[in-house]
Amino acid sequence: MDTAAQVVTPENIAFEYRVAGPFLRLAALLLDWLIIGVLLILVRIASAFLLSFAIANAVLLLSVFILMWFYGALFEAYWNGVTPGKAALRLRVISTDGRAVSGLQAFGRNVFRFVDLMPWVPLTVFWGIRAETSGFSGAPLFLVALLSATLTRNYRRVGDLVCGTMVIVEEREWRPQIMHVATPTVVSLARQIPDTFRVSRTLRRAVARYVERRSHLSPERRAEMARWLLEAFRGRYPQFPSVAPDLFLLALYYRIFIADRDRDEAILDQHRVQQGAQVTPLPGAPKVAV
Amino acid sequence: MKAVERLAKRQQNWAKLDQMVEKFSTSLRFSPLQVVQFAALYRAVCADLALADAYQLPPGTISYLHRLVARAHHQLYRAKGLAFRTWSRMFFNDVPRQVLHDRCVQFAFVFFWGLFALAAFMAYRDDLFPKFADDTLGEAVMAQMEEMYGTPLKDREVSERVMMAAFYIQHNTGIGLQCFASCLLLVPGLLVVKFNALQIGAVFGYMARPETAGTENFFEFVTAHGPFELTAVVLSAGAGLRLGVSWMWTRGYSRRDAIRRALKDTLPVMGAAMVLFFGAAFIEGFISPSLLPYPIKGAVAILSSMILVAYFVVLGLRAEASDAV
Repeated sequence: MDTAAQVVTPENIAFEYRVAGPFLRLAALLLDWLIIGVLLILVRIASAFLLSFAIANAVLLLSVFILMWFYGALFEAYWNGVTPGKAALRLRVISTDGRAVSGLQAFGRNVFRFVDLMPWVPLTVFWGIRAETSGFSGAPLFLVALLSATLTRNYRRVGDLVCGTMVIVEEREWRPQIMHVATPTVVSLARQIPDTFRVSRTLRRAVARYVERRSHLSPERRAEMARWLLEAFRGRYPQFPSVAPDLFLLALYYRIFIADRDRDEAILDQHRVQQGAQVTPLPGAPKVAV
Repeated sequence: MKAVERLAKRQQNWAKLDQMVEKFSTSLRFSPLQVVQFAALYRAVCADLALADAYQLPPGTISYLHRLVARAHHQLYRAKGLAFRTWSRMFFNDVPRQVLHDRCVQFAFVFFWGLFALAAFMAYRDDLFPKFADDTLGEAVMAQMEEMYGTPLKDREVSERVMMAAFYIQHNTGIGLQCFASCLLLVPGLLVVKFNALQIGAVFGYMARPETAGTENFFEFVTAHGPFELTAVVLSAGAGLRLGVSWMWTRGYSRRDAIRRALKDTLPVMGAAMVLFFGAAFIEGFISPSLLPYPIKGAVAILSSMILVAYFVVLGLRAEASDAV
């Protein structure tokens, strides 16, 4: 996958993340801006009720300043790389070496957002207002961020590049499972696969992906996909019976992940099959129609 | 052992860790026992992932383990927040040393003040450059300036001063941060600095003209906070330029490392500039518009200049000396 970033942990193992794309991150940013807007309105209302006019204005101005420049930095520094918008989309900012962001990194990448949002189009273009001399008075076009994200690995914007950070997706994937394929036909077919047949790593992966997803495929499509493997296999072992290609892959799956190659195990299996019992399914494993 | 048995044995561990990660990511209240348990589970899952290939686990399970380890990793190695304890050394040692001999700060100083002086001169000599002030500032700003300073300074309410101080913090520090950030790309940064230097310079030149109303009030107003505010602008531009230059002249580092190193040096400088902006904003809000006699305001300006010199030169030299030892 080209959207995966690898990291080696202090425990000395390598694991992979899915990197967040620019448009997921844009959604998170807009969500954060929405939150800032709502907070400012709340501050305005509350201070208007509680404080005198000038003090209320002062509070509002300071909140504008803090929220505009430090909202992201404070959340990322204290919430472990997450702002409310990112939390909603399950994104997290981390250092490129896989560690958590430091305070300086969080502050820096949020200050440099000003560059990422460039070019700023003055509002004069839209409404004929004389552009204010400073402040976020223009409309951001996000072009620098988009350009930088397309040109770098891991979709990093300028702020990320400067501070050595990246944004990843924290997925909660489905529970790990072994598909329940142990019907008598499959088991007996699996035992006919010769012991000398060694399953390579890539084949193991391909078979597992196929069996996990075959419920989404039509019977014709299954046959079409599985045919190639069966043909190659029968080229090497001509004595193997000509069965439905789909069935063959199920048998292979069974042989790889469920049944042991040892003789006695196979005999046990045979015994169970003869008695009509099935291999005990894992809790939560879905049934697969064969 | 086949994958199916391995899974049956380990799945409980994984589910437990999964649960704990979810709990840890929403609240930070947990007992020492839970922490120990979490660490043990995490190491166990790391081991499972390391051996996943040897165990011949299906790829779906392996990618589940990748995600699980990643999520647990981020709960275990957390962000430390802002390290306030290291800040005093940063501000009283690293920043002055960094600024003292920094060519970029020096360049920003010359660039800003040069343009400032030029704009002030051109706006002042109406006879030589008749349209300069109009073009740079615009009629509206010029009228606003005359109106603002045309009447003598009034004593403001305290609450009104607080409001003005807040406005200056928000507005000026924002400009400083923008200067800093956009200097990363050099050209936009220099344009922002140029814009501000010309504006401020033109206002000074225009207000200094004998025929403009409110000249005395204007200079009385700007004296006190000037040193802090203008130094802060120069500092933020200089720090930004250091960053922008770092990824062009890398001095043998890779671009990424060069910019990373420059960032470590310059972010604290930007922090110092922000402190100066805050200081200037309070002086601007409370002292500059007050009815205090002019000598006192002048004294504030002299005092703040002395503080700046002491900070950058004295502390800078001391930091250098202590580093040399």
